[in-house]
Amino acid sequence: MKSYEQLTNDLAPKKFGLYGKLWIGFLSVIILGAVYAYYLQFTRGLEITGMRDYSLWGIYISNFVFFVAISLVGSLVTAILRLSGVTWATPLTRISEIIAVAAIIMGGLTIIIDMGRPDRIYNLFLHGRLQSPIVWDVIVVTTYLTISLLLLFYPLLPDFHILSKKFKANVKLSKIYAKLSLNWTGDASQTSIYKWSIRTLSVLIIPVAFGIHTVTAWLFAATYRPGWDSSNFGPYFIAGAFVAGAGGVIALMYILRRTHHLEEYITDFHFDKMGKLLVLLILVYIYFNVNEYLVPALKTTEKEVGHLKALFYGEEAWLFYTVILGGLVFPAIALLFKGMRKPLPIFIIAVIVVLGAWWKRYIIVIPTLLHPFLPVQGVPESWHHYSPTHLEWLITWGTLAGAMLIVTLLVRYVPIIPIHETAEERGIEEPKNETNDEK
Amino acid sequence: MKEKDQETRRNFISNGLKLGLLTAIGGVAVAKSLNEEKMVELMDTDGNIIKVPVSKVEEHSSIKGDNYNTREGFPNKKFVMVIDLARCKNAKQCQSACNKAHFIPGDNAWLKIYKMQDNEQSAPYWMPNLCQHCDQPACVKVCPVDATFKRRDGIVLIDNERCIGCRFCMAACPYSVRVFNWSEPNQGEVKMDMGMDMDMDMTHSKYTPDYAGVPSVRGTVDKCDFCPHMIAEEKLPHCVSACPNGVYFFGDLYEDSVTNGAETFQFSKLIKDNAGYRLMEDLGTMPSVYYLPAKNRQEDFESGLENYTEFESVQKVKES
Amino acid sequence: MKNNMKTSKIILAISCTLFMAFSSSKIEAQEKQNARISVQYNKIGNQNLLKISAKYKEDKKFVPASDLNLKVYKTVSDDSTTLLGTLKLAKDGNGIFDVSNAITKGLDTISFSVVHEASDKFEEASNEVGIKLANLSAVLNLDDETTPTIMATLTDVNNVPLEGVELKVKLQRSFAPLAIGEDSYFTDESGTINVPITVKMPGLDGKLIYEVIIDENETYGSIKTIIESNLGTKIKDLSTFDQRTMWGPPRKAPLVALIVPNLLIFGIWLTLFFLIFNLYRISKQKKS
Repeated sequence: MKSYEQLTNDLAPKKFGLYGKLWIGFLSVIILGAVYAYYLQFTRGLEITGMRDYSLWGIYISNFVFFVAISLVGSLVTAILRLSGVTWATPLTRISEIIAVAAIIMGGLTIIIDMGRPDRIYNLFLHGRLQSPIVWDVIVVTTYLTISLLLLFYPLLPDFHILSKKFKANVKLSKIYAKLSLNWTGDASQTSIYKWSIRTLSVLIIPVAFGIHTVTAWLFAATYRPGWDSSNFGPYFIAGAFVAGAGGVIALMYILRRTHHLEEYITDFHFDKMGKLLVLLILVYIYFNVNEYLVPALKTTEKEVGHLKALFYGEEAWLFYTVILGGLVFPAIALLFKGMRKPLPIFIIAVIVVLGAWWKRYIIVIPTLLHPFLPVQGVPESWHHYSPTHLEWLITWGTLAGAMLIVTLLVRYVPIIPIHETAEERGIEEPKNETNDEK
Repeated sequence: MKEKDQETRRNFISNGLKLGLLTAIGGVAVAKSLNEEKMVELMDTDGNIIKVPVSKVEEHSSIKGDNYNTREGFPNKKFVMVIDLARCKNAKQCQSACNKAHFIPGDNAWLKIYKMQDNEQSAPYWMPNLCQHCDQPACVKVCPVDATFKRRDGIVLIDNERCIGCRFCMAACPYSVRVFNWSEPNQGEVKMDMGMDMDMDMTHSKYTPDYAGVPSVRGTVDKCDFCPHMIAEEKLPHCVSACPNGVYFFGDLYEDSVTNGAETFQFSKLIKDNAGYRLMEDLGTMPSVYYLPAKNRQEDFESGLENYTEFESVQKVKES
Repeated sequence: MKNNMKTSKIILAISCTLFMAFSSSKIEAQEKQNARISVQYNKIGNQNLLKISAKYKEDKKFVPASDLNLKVYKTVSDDSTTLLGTLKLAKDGNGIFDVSNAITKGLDTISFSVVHEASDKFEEASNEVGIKLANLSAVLNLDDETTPTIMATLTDVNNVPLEGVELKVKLQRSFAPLAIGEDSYFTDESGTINVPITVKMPGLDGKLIYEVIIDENETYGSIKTIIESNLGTKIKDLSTFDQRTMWGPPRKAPLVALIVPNLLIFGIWLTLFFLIFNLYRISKQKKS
């Protein structure tokens, strides 16, 4: 049994080593490039992208949907698993919340990047229409971000207290941690407020999380377009979100386990459990995909069949099959084998799942737009296709790098695994004489 | 020494005066072109033409009424359009007139003539397609900032000063009639190349959604506006007057009358007698544009093929 | 010294060019054009007008001519010609000249001419129109309740009925009038036509304004007489502008769309503010 001090040392955030610094440098370079590319877009207009009047939404929007999707993992792991008493997931709650916060922040930025006139964003508040799904989306995203931040911050209160004592030598850092811990002492009254608040947040985040991705799905389902005009879209998107989120957590927990030597806390058992969860989630998502793609194929509705033909045999067919078979079916089958649920194999599979999730959203957004009701006539030939430009990719990579940067910075200062809760679960008591600091 | 000084002084003064003269003339010229108050030509009560500065003219049109506001529209009117597909030969004069009148800057015209064929057995036909000004518009429903709006007189307009460029309206419209200004619209050159009289738009010193495209704004959406700027002068929209074959009919549903400029028909009778229909009626958008079937064609479909440009709907003025 | 002279000349040349360029807005063409003037006599109610338009050929296309100095004359039966006035055309080459004062009592026929004296831009040009004056009166006959009738009578200035003249009846509408009844009617020996109104048309506040017209007749010109009536069926506002709809402005959203989201937002955010307040409470806990 570890001592309290050993526990704290293991789980406390560590300074960046060489790799850490290189990583931050790498991300910064991408982000700087993206900022410059966005400057070009801001001054010259969205013409620098590959979008045109038919492919009016492109990878900015599919990227936005991806971010919203992956942010749902916060509610999944932190709230649903926690509320259902699944304690093995405790080490993963902080990772999930960090991913959720980073993703939803970058998601909000991404949607602003897609706007033609971001300088007029205040119009959303001056003239906003509650009838518009976009306004609902803005409201739920803001609400979800607030809840996620609170759900990240609350469990950190005891940990900040612990860290403030651990880093006593570094006076400035210690003071910051102390302030952030809001005078946490762990006494009864604080603990009761704390417990009540976390439980309330966990309950609250679930409907809001369902809301956020349902509303995002309705941005498409509220239109008449074949491929989007589906009553299935809300649940379909949420199922997909859990898949993407679970994959993201597995990938990140593997990386952090290695960089921070957390093998004793994130064990093979955790990977095995997450692997089984991921299989279940993928199977549910495959079920929704079958409903989404097979049912229209059973009918002869001209426009629906046209859309499916494009996906099954058309220009984007190769991508469609890669995403479905490679990104969903293969991982689901592979993870049925215990051997594949070991850390390294499952990490690779999780990365494949996340990549597949990103491209799945591309498949959802773009093909429908290229097959409108009326034939595409009277516009240049290039407008019949969509190909993101280099600048468009750079900006998109910039948002992904931004999300990873937020994760990296949070991991630098915040314990990846909740110290306090882990101690509680393992029955490791906090030494009494440490709390009275009379020096 | 003294002489050289004198010469230098003389040179300085003489050059200075010349420079001063140049500057003065240049300055007067610049000032004149800046201050040249735009003038309107009006007719006085004796039937003589007089020139009056724009600032002294208040626009008053009897069809606008006293409390006209662009968000509500012309009082006691509900505009409808009837397109007779039996007459359309793809002359595309409607498209050029619309492109010109609205200084359309991009590669996508607001009014396009589609090559259509409903099924393998029926004959192909030419179908002009423009904003349908739906009574239950999908585009207006989704706009987050109330930039596009449905007026009492049936017209759907866009406020290009409010639009945030999210393009949700473009995604929602099933008729694909909305276009986006992906870059800074180069209307200045276009205006001059197309020989438009710069004075023609001088009355619109203030932007109004009533005259779409004047100007087009980068990062916002544009579409057919049913020409309220023409209606205000009791004139027909440009496409209606430009068509050489009388394809377009325009009028007020409340007057039950539509005209193509030369022929006027009772609207309800025209639709009833000719089995008029609306595009994608089953979507429930309730368009204001009716189509008369391509039956008893005056000329066959092939005659329109020579004008058909599959990849172009806005003619670019060639660089000289 | 020589350089000075050269510089002076150059500056003078530039000044002159600038001055000329900016003092006139156009550099005028020197070649004279041939303008074509058209004159039409229009009588609308009691107003007698001349509708004048002018155009000329430029690059094989007709273009409106507006820089004309027009003089309008009248010529009566005793061949006396009187100058009535001058007219300047609008930019679109059209103009209207009121000749009501020229038509004196007892006048049977009259001739108008429009003359442009040679100017810098245009050669001399003129046109004229000769008219036999006529009076067109029209009334609405409501004797038959089911079918109102328009009765119109055409007479000359001595009240002699004019037979066999083509008349049309139209209903005034926004952009162009709608033909009523047959394409044309011809006056009988009493100079009358009777047109039954069989179609019920809508009109604002029930008002319908009919017109009886002679359309560009060689002898009589164009004459229009107006009849106001209350035969119109009432107009109903079919728009949804005043209703709460999903496509309305923000303040006209359906009540459900306003109430449900606001309740949710209010409920959730009230809880969130309380949770944030709890953070404050935690920080303010006194040590036990």
